[in-house]
Amino acid sequence: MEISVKQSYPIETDALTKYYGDFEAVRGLTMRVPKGSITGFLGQNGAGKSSTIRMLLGMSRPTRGNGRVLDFDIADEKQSIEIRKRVAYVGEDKRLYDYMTVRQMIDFTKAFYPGWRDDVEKKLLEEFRLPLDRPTKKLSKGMRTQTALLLAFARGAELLILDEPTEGLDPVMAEKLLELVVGAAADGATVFFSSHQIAEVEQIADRILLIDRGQLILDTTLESISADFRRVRGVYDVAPRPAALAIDGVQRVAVDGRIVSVMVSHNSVTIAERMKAESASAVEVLPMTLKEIVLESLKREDA
Amino acid sequence: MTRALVHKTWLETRTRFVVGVIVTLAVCGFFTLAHSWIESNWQRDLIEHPEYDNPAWFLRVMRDYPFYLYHFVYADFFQKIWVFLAVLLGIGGLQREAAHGTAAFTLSLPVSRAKLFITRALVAVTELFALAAIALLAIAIGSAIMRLPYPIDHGISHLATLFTGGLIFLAAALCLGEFVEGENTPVVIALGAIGLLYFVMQPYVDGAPLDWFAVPFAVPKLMAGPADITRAADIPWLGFIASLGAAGLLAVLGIRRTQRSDY
Repeated sequence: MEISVKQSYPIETDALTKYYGDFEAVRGLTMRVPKGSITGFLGQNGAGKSSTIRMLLGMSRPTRGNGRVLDFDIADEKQSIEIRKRVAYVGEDKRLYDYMTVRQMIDFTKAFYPGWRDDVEKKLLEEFRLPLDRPTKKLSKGMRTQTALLLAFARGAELLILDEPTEGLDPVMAEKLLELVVGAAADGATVFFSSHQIAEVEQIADRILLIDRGQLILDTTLESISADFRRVRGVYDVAPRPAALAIDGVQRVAVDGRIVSVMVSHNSVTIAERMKAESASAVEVLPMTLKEIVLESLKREDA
Repeated sequence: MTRALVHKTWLETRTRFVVGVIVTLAVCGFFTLAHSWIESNWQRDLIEHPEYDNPAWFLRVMRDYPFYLYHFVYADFFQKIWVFLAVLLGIGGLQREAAHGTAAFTLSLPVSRAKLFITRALVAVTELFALAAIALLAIAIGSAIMRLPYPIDHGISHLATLFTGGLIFLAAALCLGEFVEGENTPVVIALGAIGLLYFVMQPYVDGAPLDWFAVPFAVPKLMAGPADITRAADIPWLGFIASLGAAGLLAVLGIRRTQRSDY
């Protein structure tokens, strides 16, 4: 008997495209976020991260392509409501209703989520020591962020979508937030969070999606980065033919005088051997950090 | 969920509603409680300045208290304030929330944009209705205090025309809030349009026969209604239906717009 196990993807997009007037904010984005993962959605400011997230949550409509969140169509308004019943979202701008107190914000949000986690609410209230009767407009930025986090994490959501969650936070608060994210993932939630902070992504994510100018340019796991990504550097008397390095796994080739530097996503041993065969006088294989990979990948797009 | 949305909308608009209550009480209170004082000043002017070229309505407002209220409250001064209050209660919506930075939070909730719009509209209509009731109460009590006999059905009829006409401005403000970005821009546009409307329509409100081109903009005249409403046949039913129809159309337009906007 053959048993097929279908991989589940809480977020799937296919050629997702968004235009704002003539500006193409998201260009044919095809990606998948596996269930139970913490996926870091990396990219520079203006790369299209927030535009993508807004489409996933039904805040804006795709110009072309399609997407599904928890198996619901993001472009269908009724299905989008089903998505939002199951998703917790924290935006970059963590503004709350000025005319409500913290208690009123909690009661208001709770009314929309039958699976509201009172235990999480209680725990975070104790931890953050939020002043329940204070209007949100009188909260400090840190407290406002804490309130926004409580409102998101207590929803009991299957999927957390966080858009630049640590933006503007002090290091202590940012660290606290990352701990919460890891805790939510440990409880079984899938986490998809955008960031332009490589270090925080490296700290908690197990999967990386890198977007640049609206296009996905890297889709890998942290495990693969440490196990497979390498920089292979060869010193040549005569630079090799470009076709000679067109090998599976080669991501980028940079030539600086007699030195050829290749970023590889896998297959580094074969590539090093090929470089030796192409008369490299010295070849070295070096590990790469996520930061180096990201910077190198973005450089490629600029070239 | 609906209760939570209604509560949110109430919290959002309550300051404006309270301002509306204060303004309504002040204006309606003034025109009833100060009637004797105003009238005595006019009497003195008539005696001291017989050369004044008084308008056609002048003599009637002095001897006919319901007409006095019609002229100053329902057809003129309070009507303009009423329109302003209707706009004030109607402003808001997702574009305004976007300017405040809270639209993303609201849109992340599992509720349709149509429901958000309809909830806001219903709360605003209720608040406007409450203001009409407060105006009626203020006029009735003020008149009783001043021992001025006032038929309450006259007040009910005229406040009904004010209320239904006000719904057009309320719906226009709700609709504008979905079309125009920014926190205060829709209000500025709405008030500018109202100013222009009243500038163009004032001669007709003052009694000039309505020109054909002014008919679609005759809301101020419609809101004033006929000066004398003594029987059911005097009630401008067609005006009521036209007002409700126009307000409904604007609301549908606003809903369509909010459903199609990107945030």
